[in-house]
Order: sequence, then C-alpha cells, then structure tokens
Amino acid sequence: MYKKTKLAWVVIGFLSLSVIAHAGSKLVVAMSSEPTSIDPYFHNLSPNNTVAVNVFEELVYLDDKIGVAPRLAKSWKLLAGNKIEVNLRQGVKFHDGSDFTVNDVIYSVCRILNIKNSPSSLATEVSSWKDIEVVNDHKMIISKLNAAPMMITRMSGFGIISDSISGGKKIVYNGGKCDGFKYVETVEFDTGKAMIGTGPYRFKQYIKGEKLVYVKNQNYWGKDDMSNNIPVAYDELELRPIKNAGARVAALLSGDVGVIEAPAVQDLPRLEKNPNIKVAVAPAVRSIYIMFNFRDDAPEIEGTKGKNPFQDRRVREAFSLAIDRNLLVKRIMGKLGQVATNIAPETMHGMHNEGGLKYEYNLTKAKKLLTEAGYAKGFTVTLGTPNDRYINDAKIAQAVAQMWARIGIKTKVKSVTRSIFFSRRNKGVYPVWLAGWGDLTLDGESFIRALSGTPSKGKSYGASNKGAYSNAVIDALIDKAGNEADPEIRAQHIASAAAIIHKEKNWFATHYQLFPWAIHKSVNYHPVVGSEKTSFRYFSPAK
Amino acid sequence: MLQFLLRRTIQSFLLVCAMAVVVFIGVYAIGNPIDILINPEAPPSEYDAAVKRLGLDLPMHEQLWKFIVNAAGGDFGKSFVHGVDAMGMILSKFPATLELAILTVVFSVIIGVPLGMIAGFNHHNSIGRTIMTGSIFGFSLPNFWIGMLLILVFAVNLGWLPSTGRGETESLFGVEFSFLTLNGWKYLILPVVTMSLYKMSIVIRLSRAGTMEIIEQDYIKFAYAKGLGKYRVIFVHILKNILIPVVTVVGLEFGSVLAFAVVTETVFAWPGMGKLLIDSILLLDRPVVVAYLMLVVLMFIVINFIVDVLYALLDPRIRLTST
Repeated sequence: MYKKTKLAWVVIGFLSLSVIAHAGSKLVVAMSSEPTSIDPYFHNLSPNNTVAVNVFEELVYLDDKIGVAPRLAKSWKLLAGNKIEVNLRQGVKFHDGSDFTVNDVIYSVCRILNIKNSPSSLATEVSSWKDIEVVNDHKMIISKLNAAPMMITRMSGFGIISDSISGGKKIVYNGGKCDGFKYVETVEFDTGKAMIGTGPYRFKQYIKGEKLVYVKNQNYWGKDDMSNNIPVAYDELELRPIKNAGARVAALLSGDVGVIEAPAVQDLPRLEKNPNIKVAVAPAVRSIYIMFNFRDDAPEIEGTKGKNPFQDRRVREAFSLAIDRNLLVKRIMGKLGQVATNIAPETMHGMHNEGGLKYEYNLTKAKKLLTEAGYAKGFTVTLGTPNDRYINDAKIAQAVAQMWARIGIKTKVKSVTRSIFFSRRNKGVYPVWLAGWGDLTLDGESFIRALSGTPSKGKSYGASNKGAYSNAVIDALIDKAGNEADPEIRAQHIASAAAIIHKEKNWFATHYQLFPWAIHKSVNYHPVVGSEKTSFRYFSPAK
Repeated sequence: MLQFLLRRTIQSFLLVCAMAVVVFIGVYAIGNPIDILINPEAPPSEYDAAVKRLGLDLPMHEQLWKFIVNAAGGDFGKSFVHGVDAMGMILSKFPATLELAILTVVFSVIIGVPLGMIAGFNHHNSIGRTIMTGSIFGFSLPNFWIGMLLILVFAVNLGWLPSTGRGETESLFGVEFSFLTLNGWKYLILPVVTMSLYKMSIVIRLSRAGTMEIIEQDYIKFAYAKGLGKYRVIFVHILKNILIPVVTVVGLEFGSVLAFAVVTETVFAWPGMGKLLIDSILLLDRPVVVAYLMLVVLMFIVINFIVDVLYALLDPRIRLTST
C-alpha cells in the first residue's frame, strides 16, 4: 500500500514539474540549425540572422504586401547626385537606456566592414555606402558609390548595434574608412555584454549549442504601435537548436517546444492531422535548379565522341522537356514544393511572369530535339547533387535521372554531402548538377547575376555560374539593372534577362522550395515575409 | 613501475603525433571549407581574402608545419566556423559528454554485473535464459532506434520526461554538471538508458561467462569446503575475478562513449562533444576536427593506462612489467 502511494507521488511530481515548465508567458522555439555566433555581424548565415533580428532591429524591413517598410528609419528620400536622405525614428532607446542616433548607424556600418575572423560577412549589404554626412542626431545623408538601386532594400539585411558598447565616441565615415572607430570583439557578444539593441526582445542567456534565452523588452518603442506589427507578446523566448528532424518533431508533439522550424516532409501529414498543431508554409524564395557545364572539356560525359552536348541549346531544351515537374512536386516535395514556371518564384522583383512563361513537359519533342542535335542514340552523363542541403535533394536528382532515361540519356547520380558537393562543383567536376538559389531580399536580379552572369574578378557576376556560361546580352542587362534607380525600369531589365535565360537554359528551375513551420495551437503566427529568416515578434499567445 | 610509466608516456606521445598528422592530411584532402562557409553571392575577391585569412592558400606541408609548431605550444588553432579557440570549444562541451559517459558506465555495470552473475548461477534454468535473450535485444537493436522509441513512449505519448536537451546545471569545481540538480536528472534518464542498453548487454554476457567459468574452479570448491559463507564467496572471490574482462570492456566502452556518443547526442540534442564533432566534420572545420581527435587519442591512452593499473590491483598474477 505504502509503495503504491510513493509511486503515485513520484508520478505526480514528474507531471507537475512538466506543467510548471509551461506556466508564465514563455515560448520555446526549436531551430533546425545552430547560429555560429550571436554576434549579428560575425557570419552571414541564416540561423545567425534569425536570432539577431529580435534584438537588433534593422533600419527597414520587407513586407510582402507593401515592399520596403520603415523600422528604425522613419522615412527616406532620394536626392540628386546619388544621395539618399534618411530620417531616423526619434525617441528610441537601446536596452541599456542610451538613445538611438545616427552615430549608432555609423558604428554598425563600420563594424560590419571591419569584422574579424568572419567566414562570410555582411559586407555586401553595405558595399555601396560611400560617405555618411551627419545632418543632426536623427538625420543623415548617405552618398552612394553608384546608382545602387538596392541600397534601401539591403538595409533590411542587418540590425543596428549600439555605439555605447565601445564608448559612444563620434565616428566619421568617409570613403569606406572609419575615423574614431573602436572595435568590440565577437566574444563580447557571445557573453552578452555587447548584446545591446533596440529590439522587442533583450538578451538574457546564451549557452552555445544548447539555448539562447531572450526576455521581453519592457521599454520597446513599438509596443503600442499596432499598424502592421503585433506588440511584443512573450515574457520569455527560448531558442534551442535541435538539428535532428525527428527529435524536433518529437519535441513539438511532446509539448517541450511550441514552434519548430522545418519539420521533415514525411512528418507533415501526421502534424497536419494533429488538432493541436498547425503547419504554416511561408511563400517561396528559393529555386531548385539544374545547371550545365559549358566547358569544352566537361568531364563525365560518354558517347558523344569527345564533344560537350550541352553547348547545343537543343540538348538543354530536351533535358528540360523530359522533366515532369508536376510529378516531382506531387510525389516528392508535397506541400513543400511549387512547380517552377519561371526561373525564380513570382515573389521576386522582376519575375512577375505577366508573359505566362512556363516549363513545358513533352517527351516526344525532347526526343526529336535530341535527334536533331545528332544524339538520336542518347549518351551517358553524371548528375551531381548534394544529399543534405535542400529538401529531398537526392530524391529529386534520382527522379530527374529516371526521367532523362526515358529520352535515352543514361544518367549516373552522384549524391554526396554538401561539403564535398560544393567543393567538387566549384572545381568543375560535374557535367550537370542540381543546386538551389534563394534571395531573402526578394530581388530577382541576384538569380540572373549570380547564375548566368559571366564570372569576372572584382564584380560578383557569375558567383554561382560554375558552368562557365557566358552571354554578353545578359551581362549588358545585368549592368543596366545595376545602374537603374527606377524600380519599374529595373524590373523590366530583370524580366528581359529572365526571359533569355528561360529560353537559353544554361540552367533551368525544377521547382521552388517552400519553408515550413509547425506551430502549437497555443501560438499565433502572423508571417509578414515568408522566409528562412523570421522574426519572433510575429509570434504571440493565442487567446 | 617508473620504467612502465616512462615507456608508456613516450609511446603515447608518439601515437598522438602520428594521429595528428594522419587526421590533418585526411581532412585537408576532403576539400575546401570556404566553399560552404562563404556567402554564395560573394565576389571572388572576398573568396580569396577568406582563403588567405584562414591560411588555406599555403601548400599542405607548410600548413602542417605551422600546425605542429602551434600545437607544441598548446594552440590548436581557431575554428574556421566559429572563430574561437578550437580546443577551448571542445573542452567547454566536455562536461556534458563526461557526465553522460560516467552515468552510462555506472548504470550498465551496476545492473549488468549482478544480472550476469544471476544468469551464470542459473544458466540451466529459465531465469538465466530469459536474461540472455534480453541481452541479445540489448546489443542488436540500434542505438538511435532505441532512443527514438524511448522519446516516443516517454516524452510524446506519456509526457513524463522531456524529449531533448540538457537540464539545469550546477557548478562543481568550477565545471557545470547537470546530475547535481533534480531537474537535470529528468533530462539525463532517457539518454543514459539509451546508451547503456548496449553496454549492459555486453557486461551481462561477460559476467555470465566469467561466473560460469569461475564456479567450476578448484579454489571456489575449496572455499566452500572450508566453510566460507555464500555471500563472502560471491562478493569477494567470484566478483573480483570476473571483473577483469569487465574492466577491459568497460574501459574501452567508456572511451568510445566519450569520443563517439554522436548518435545519442544528435537524437537527444544533448550539447556535448559528439554533436560538435559531427557538425565540424560536415562543415570541414578542420582545426576543431583535428583538435578533437587528438584529445580523443589522449583520452584512450589515459583510460587504457588506468585499466592496466586496475588489472594489477585486481589480479595478483598480473604484473605491470609487460606492456
């Protein structure tokens, strides 16, 4: 009798402990990857940006309905002579009580440009900032290096840190040089000392690899602003990295966490059937594509008498015609994929597809084109793909290989882990490969510049054009778009280039990849821009 | 004893050096970490700057030489990905893995040895056979599957225990351990059970075999004949003698848990060294991988040394002269 009572108390004890863990307004979020540091400028990596933006707010943010929207910058005006006048919001205080002024913006830009040991920095976000003229504490005039049409959009890519972490000295920014700038090390952020921002959440605790805890900023400047943001809702926000997809889903189902990022595709049906959980899928920002190697000596092609068949447009067209994109999305991607019609999702600036472009599926036509090009008997080729970078990447590649087999192309799929895949692809080891490209600034231009621009030193053209494709017409359009300040005209340049790529197919998209979140019903989610970087200010307790 | 120590130390040092060189060359040969770390939109000039900064533009033997020189001074380099001291990062995760490993070993021995002895005494009847069949399941079922099953049953369906993570910690000698808090135990139970199932099965089988062999020995018969009590015979004479193979295996397994608890740590999101290792391998973070493996070699050497010393204590027939 006594033993049973003891057992009952132990059970009750455990159960009540887990109940207490959920009391109080606290949200626990499980992320699918870990930030390499909580220093917002250390590494331009998706999880780093996701956690930083809750503490360090940007000057502007991207809203999928109204485009670029004001955050810490209240308004801006384009002036003659490649200048922008920016008015900062007044009355904003940092977490340590100091005022938000122009000097904080200058300090932030300087630190981005002078960051130490960064594997990949945010410098591209401020690459066109030439000089900053300080008019007063809340007004500055930025001189641009050139037309830099994306400069304001790119302001959504970094948060503002406080100059008080280095003493608050006034800095003069001229021609990329920072006079009076004192550097603060990354470790100061990791320990929390320098984690001073203006955001709705403030830093509480960080244990690398384990958890990051934020608490509500009681003096948040926007707490009464209901215009298109939700007021800060949780007293405490805990972010935990759980890399294993199964463990992440288990954590959500067991109630240990309230929100999870990127549940695995195979778990989605189970999560959707569960009445306590809802699955939210953010709009697409990423294309998954197949790209060809244009070099004369492209390796791993057999049966073509030493020629590179991909230099012939008809062959590339045939390869695209053989792919049944509807089947790929239906069978393999499910809710997480959208059939590609243009080279990039329509949410991207310049890709609005009024021309009704689409990728056709036609096996007969494909075989005819191959015959015309002189490959009636087909040939053998290797398809390279990563197996742990994109959702179901290896499966897509295998399906594509089988589809190519139907037009007489024997395809060997070489699927490797991402570290090896990217090294090899960049060295030109594959004749054709699968990869992905996304743009969080919702600008279609990067798809064209990085994937079809002619690679050249200095400019970032063709940064991912590892097939060495070169087209002078496309390059000219990229030049024009880069120097055009009017967004409408710029969009036309981008659309024209996209149409050329859609026809020439040095690469073509198979589908757009969507980014899912699974949320417990006690949490409300109001996504503003669906993306792989999200701010947790958009989560609030459900009534 | 001194001669033994000296010889062991020199051998160990040579082993660590050889290991470092092999690992360095191996990871170097896989590829260039910059390709994964860098923003794909970055212009080639930034790519070159990053390569230079990490010292990857030097030929391999120069990189190796630089590494050896620094390592001799205790500096194993900065992580490519995190930018902080590689060895420091590993050592900061060490306590988490250590407490998991120690508790696993303790748990598997405390349960495995008695069960094995019971199986040994009862090898002719169903009690013994049941224990042995159970042990087969223990070492054949894959680690991660057991882990996920336990999470499914205890965390998702019953909600008794948390599914992932590590609990609250308290400081002991300046190091944070979670077994010192009640909350910490909640998080420890499932990972420890998962990992110890395999070791427990091995320990059971070893103890059973040892017990069955020893109870046939003459000195046991003489002990009973002299009139020694049953419990004295079991705990002093039989137990001590079956422990030698158990100690060997436990020593090896302890080392392997410390070094390679990757699967369990991944399934339970336990913030230990194993998780750090697999992440670093996938990102080609060479300084961390090399520093980690050198640490692991060192650990195995120390553990084996302790095991050898324990032999001498347990069995007077063994002397430390043979290495």
